[in-house]
Amino acid sequence: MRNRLKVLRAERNWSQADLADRLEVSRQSVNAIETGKYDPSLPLAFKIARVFALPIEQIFSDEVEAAS
Amino acid sequence: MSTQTDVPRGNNAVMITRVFIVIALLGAALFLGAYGTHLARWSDAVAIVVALMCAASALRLAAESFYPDALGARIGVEGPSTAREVRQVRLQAMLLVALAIALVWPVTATWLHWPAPAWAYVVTAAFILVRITYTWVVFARADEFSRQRTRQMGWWIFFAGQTALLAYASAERLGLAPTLTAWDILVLMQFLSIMMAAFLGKARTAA
Repeated sequence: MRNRLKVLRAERNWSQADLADRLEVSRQSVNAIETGKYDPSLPLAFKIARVFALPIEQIFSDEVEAAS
Repeated sequence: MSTQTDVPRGNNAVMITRVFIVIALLGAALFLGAYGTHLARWSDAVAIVVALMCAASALRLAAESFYPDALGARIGVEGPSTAREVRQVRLQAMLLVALAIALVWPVTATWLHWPAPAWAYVVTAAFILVRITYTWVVFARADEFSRQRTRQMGWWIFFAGQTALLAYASAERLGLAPTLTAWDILVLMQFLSIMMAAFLGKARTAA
């Protein structure tokens, strides 16, 4: 799964620590999601969408969908 | 202080730790060479080696915890590590030291003909309490990513351990292999856990 977390975070001038605090997770989790090493659970994905005030599909996209 | 000056300092700490590790392993080799025949079982020698591996890992973690930039890079985050991350790493280092003591103590107590085995067992009981508390606290505070990594590690150790146990236990039951004690199995399991942790850690970094 691809995501735009790093771009969205940069647009808001947030550090990984800022986003981690908002999501109540560790900075390692934010980094792992940004680098594609970890796909978040549905509850965390919805929380990310709420924090960025965006629909979930504007943050995450399927690899197959993104390739086509 | 700039990042450019901190990273080499962190690297120096790691290099110094590596030198200590080599010295410790050479010391272990000399010790086992000189006194190895006095040990009750082959697994006692393995226990000493595993304990030294734990101590070496603890030393490395402790050294890195003094260099926030180096530690931040190792745990895979942007910028230097925070006070909370430093605390977590130091706690992990302390648990590794406790594990090293727990592995070496029964060997040492037996070797020294400790007069009261029940009292010697108090050290093991204390370590079990520390381990239960540490695991409970860490797991309770962990987020879903940390828990997933713990589960993944547990799965691999369980799979490898069960497969090896099935292979050996069947051979032992059929009289094809010598009998192992619970101590032998524990020591081998700890060795397996450490190797798995190191392997998965490298694999994650490379991914």
